[in-house]
Amino acid sequence: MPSYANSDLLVTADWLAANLSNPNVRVVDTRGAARYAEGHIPGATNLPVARLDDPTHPIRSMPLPPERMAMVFGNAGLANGQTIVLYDDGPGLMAARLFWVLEYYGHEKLGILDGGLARWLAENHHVTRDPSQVTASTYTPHPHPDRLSSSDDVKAVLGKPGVALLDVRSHEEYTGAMVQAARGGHVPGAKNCDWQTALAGLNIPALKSADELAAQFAAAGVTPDKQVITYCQGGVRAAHSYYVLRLLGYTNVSNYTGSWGDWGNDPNLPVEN
Amino acid sequence: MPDAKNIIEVDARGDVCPVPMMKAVKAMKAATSQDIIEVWIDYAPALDTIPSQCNRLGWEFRVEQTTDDPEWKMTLTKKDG
Repeated sequence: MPSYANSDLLVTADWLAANLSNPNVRVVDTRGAARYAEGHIPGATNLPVARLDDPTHPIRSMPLPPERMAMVFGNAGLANGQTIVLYDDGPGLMAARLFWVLEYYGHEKLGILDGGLARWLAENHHVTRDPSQVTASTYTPHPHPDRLSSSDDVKAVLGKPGVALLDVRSHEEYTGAMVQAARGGHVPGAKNCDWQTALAGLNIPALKSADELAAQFAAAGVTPDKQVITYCQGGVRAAHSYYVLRLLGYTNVSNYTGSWGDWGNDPNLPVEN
Repeated sequence: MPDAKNIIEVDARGDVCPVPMMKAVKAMKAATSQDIIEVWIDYAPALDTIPSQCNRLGWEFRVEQTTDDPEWKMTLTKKDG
């Protein structure tokens, strides 16, 4: 296992297989219901990441407020104090989104299955189509506001030393060649590091080594001594990069979940191309 | 009698940014004015990103929420002219 500073945030398939019956471990399949029904890790609860967003909030990707998120988590059988292992098909985008939401709401024992379902199957573990029996539980969120950034938070740190804004979209989105809001471009001062560059392979995705990742981020001015804010278009790719930075041991990281869908559509905010 | 339209279904449920937008763009670029594209999504930010591409590529869109779940059907039709 690569020597990530917070290596407990990355779970191997063998460890998970050995702990499927552990009452203190809750496995969560973050894919849509149809994909879950096609086959999932035995005992896994289905919690599609679409259910995490507040439909009443003007920012589409804003997580539900605490009292409503408590119901979503509780209905999925999540409980404070559990070790929650998240997975998706493999790249980790959806798993990382729920990872960030759970960290935002204060959950401490979390991990993502290395390589997701692709790795699970490649290592000859089984899936089932039987829906898991879920007993609803009580979940108490403890929000950590420092893990979620708003446009005001980003505006307040523009140009400040000791802060790294990390745009994890594609290069085309970053430069404005591809426009997905009223305006194209990026937040002034933000550096670009496409989230996919954290992965070493796409058939069975695997994260690059700690040294490689650290070097990539350092080349973008992102170092552990800084306050780091990740963003993308809607806060999902940004959550993946948030997760990778947490895996590397970064402690001062937040996700600007409104991302370019928020910033690019606000004519009062500056844009760089 | 108007010509029958061909319905192209694009299932982007379970996909997150930028995949729903990319699937919709791929379908729009391959489609003709005789086609209707139905894009199924459950990722709310795509409700903004797909329309922006529709405007760019000359397609109109209509959005329906078909269940109580966060799931939408976007129906895309080619603009006249």
